[in-house]
Amino acid sequence: MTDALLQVRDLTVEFPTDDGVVRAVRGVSFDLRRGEVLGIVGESGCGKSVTNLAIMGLLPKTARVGGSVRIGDDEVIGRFPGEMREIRGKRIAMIFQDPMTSLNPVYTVGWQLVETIRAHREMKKAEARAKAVDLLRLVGIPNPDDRFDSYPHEFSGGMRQRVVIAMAIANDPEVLIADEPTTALDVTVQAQILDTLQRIRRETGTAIIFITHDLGVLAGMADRLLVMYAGRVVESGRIEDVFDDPQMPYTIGLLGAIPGEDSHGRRLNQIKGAPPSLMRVPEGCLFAPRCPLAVDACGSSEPGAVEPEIDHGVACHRVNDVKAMADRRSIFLNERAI
Amino acid sequence: MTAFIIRRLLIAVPVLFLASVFTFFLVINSGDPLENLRARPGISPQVIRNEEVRLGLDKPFVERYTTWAGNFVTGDLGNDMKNRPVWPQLWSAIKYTLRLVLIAELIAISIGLMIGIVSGVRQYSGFDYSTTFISFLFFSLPVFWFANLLKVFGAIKFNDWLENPGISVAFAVVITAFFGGSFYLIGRKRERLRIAKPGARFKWSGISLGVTALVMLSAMFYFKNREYGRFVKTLGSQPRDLADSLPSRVWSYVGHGILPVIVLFTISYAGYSRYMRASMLEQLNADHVRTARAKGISETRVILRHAFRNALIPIATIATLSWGGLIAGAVITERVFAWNGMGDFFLDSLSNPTPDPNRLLAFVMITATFTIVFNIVADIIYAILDPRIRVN
Amino acid sequence: METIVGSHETEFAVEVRSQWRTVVRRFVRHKLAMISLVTLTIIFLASIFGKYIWRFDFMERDTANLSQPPSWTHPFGTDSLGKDMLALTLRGAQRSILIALMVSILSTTIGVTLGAIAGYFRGWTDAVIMRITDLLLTIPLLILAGCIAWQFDGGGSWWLLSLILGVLSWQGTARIVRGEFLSLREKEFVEAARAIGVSDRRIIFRHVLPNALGPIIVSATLSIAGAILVETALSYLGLGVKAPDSSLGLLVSDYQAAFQTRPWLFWFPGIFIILICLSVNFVGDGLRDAFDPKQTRVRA
Repeated sequence: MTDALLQVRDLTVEFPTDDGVVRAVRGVSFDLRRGEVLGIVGESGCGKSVTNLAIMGLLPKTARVGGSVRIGDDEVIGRFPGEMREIRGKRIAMIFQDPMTSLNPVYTVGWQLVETIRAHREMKKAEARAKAVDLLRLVGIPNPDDRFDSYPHEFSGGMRQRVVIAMAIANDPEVLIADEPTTALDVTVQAQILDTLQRIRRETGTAIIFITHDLGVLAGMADRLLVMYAGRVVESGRIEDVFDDPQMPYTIGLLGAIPGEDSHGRRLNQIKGAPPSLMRVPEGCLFAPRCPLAVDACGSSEPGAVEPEIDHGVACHRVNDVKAMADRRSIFLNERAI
Repeated sequence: MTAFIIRRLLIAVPVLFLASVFTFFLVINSGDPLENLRARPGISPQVIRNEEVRLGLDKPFVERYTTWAGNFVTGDLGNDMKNRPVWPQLWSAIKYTLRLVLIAELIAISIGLMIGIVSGVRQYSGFDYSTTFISFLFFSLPVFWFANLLKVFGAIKFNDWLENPGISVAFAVVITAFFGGSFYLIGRKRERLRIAKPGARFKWSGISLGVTALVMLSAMFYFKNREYGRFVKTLGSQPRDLADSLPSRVWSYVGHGILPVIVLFTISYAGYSRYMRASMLEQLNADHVRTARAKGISETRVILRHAFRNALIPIATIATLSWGGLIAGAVITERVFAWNGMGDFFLDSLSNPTPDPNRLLAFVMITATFTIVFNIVADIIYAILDPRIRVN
Repeated sequence: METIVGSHETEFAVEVRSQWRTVVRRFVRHKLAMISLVTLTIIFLASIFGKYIWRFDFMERDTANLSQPPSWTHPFGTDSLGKDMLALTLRGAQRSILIALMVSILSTTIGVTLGAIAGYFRGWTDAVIMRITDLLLTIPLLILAGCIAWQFDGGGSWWLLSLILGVLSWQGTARIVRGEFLSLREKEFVEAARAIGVSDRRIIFRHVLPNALGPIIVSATLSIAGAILVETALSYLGLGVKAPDSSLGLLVSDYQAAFQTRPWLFWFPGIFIILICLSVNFVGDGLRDAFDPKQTRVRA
């Protein structure tokens, strides 16, 4: 075992529905080390949000969760709601995508902050208020003392997200999970929020799991990267390694789909097709139908899961062939076999 | 905030005005106050004509309206057909009805909201299904039928029982088994959720069996050979003898009021519990509730301080709607239980034995005014509950 | 060299169903709603065809069996004149159901029209319609209808009552439809239609309305229950249907004094009202669940 802060092993999440069982997460394993920023990237529906909701225990009662999530020495999966309280907001905190609806509209921002603080420690109201004002200052909200008594609807989107961040770090969590925190914001505001997160990470040493579908955002933020597809991790490694040396065709496709200097005047590479439904999961690698490198083996057996201990892990049968290629992006340029 | 209230009051004025014109038009055309007179043989046309002039029936609409409106605004509601002033009668009727309606509404809100919350939190549970069914039942109850039912079972039969109280063995056994069984099931559920220790269900059911058996046994002995007066009253709204001591007066008020209040309660309750449930369900899935849970606060706090507090906001609109239903219910209930309230006043003014325009007008206007006032109150409550509204 | 297996066109999609089939499927799954639907159909058919099947007419007096409790010959008993209670109840039910259906159709039509206009055109039209709605709401329906119905003494024919109630009870539906239109008109397909030059009327009826059908159907169904309760209440008070015509409310008022001595005369009309209303409510609730895409019952 590595000395990871958070260890996720073989996490599975299933949702029984009227039409069948949806296997949203199918065996995800990764480590999060102290103070590192782990980016999780993937298309909508690949399971990145569900994985992290499972870690926090915020899935609906009907969800069936399996596997193990350990923070330090403590197991998280399988705890009852009462037992989750000492983890949530205290050791692991989570911020969500839409700042417009994340905050309770009927209470002041200060009230909500104080609630978070006093939920996990004994503190007098005055003390808690002072701490809340400090937190608001920390995340960059001007006039924090006045703004303490403002309602969420009196803030702009970016400011609201900062308040949400303040609430999350109020009790010095070891892990901060950010689920697409900038997706709903303007680009300029995005930069500010990322800046705030960077600053917090520097000043408090909190490890961050950053979920997004935007690779560009991660380039400046993340230390390591996890690429997810159809409920599994398909590639993981240090961010420079994955960007420079992508070894899973899906990753190559993702990177190739980003407009860059060399795409001027050319068509963007696209990965044709759409992600599969996770209700009747077929045999083999789930990316095979869209993969230009797929062979028979890809259709019959799924590649082994990515091991968290490995530096640069890939879930692909043809990884060796990929490594041997010079120009990997070309696999998506035409559909002929290589 | 004050600006908000003032604005609301200002809007109410033209609405009241329009309502009054509409009402006046309605009432003027609601039958002929002199129809009995006309039908009587041997009355000369001159007498009829005199009556018409006296009642102002010969004047054009606008003139009649302005005369009436002018009087109304200064507090003069005119006289009824028997030449008695309308206002004192109406006022005493209002007091009775208001008493009834407010108590019933308060109880309905309290119980309805509580059950709505639990129903929403425990969606699809046995509790949810049974309370939903009861709500539907109350929605579908014809008030007049239920009031009569209550009159017989709640009053006459109950009073009969009070005269010879006793608890049969069968009854005692059933009650004991019911409580014992329920606690067993509750204990088992708690065990499964690991809130209670294993084996708790036996302890719970055992204790409840013992306690209920004890209560039943002592009740059986206690109730033998005792004498009570006939407590539940079905006629009228208060005791005839006002010289009695305060406690016995209070007791009498309760005895008279309990059945009508129960009837009116069933009208309002269903709305509150169903809408609260729906509102809670919506809130429990809301983003801000997810954030609240992620903060690690206790589930109770999440439910009450976050979900419930937001779920309350749309309920304010329900309160106004139920007022109309309550007045309608009061009309019927007062007829069944012979209260001299507004409902009775209304029915009377329609056909006692001929329509009485002044009474009818006064009644409809007062009802409309109440509705508008309650609407404003609801708007204010809405603004108190939802800070986002206050900005406008 | 390797060859490609499979192509991107192979998708594991869930079978696509048309919207109506989904709705029906979800409704059928709702056991309570189905039972209620069956109950309603039975009552409905019995009230219409009962008089042809049942051996007693509601006016017939079986003088040999005065004031009899329920028996094999008279399953609902008889009254003091020997009239068969079952026939009477069925007749009353027929009347009340007829009125309720008419009221529902009328109020839904008016409500949809006004709500659609208010929600689609907004501005002044909306404000005016909403003020009228509020105005009508200041006076409780029972009172309003009572005042108006009162004048049409002598017979109080059922269709007149339906007309009155129908014209006075459209506010709920109008509100709902207005709400739907307010949100639907912002959708892109409306903008697109307008850009092509489709007339307003066509947009309302052919584009927006079909999408608002769900809540409208639910509202129409539930208004049947409301109508029955108001009509029976009015008839009970003597302000609605009058003899020789019949109504469940009239039956209750006629026999309420007899409750203690001849309870069967009192129970049955009331139970019928409850049964009809309850079933309508459950069916309406089932429809609401069936139309609402957000509610997916998850089998735990």
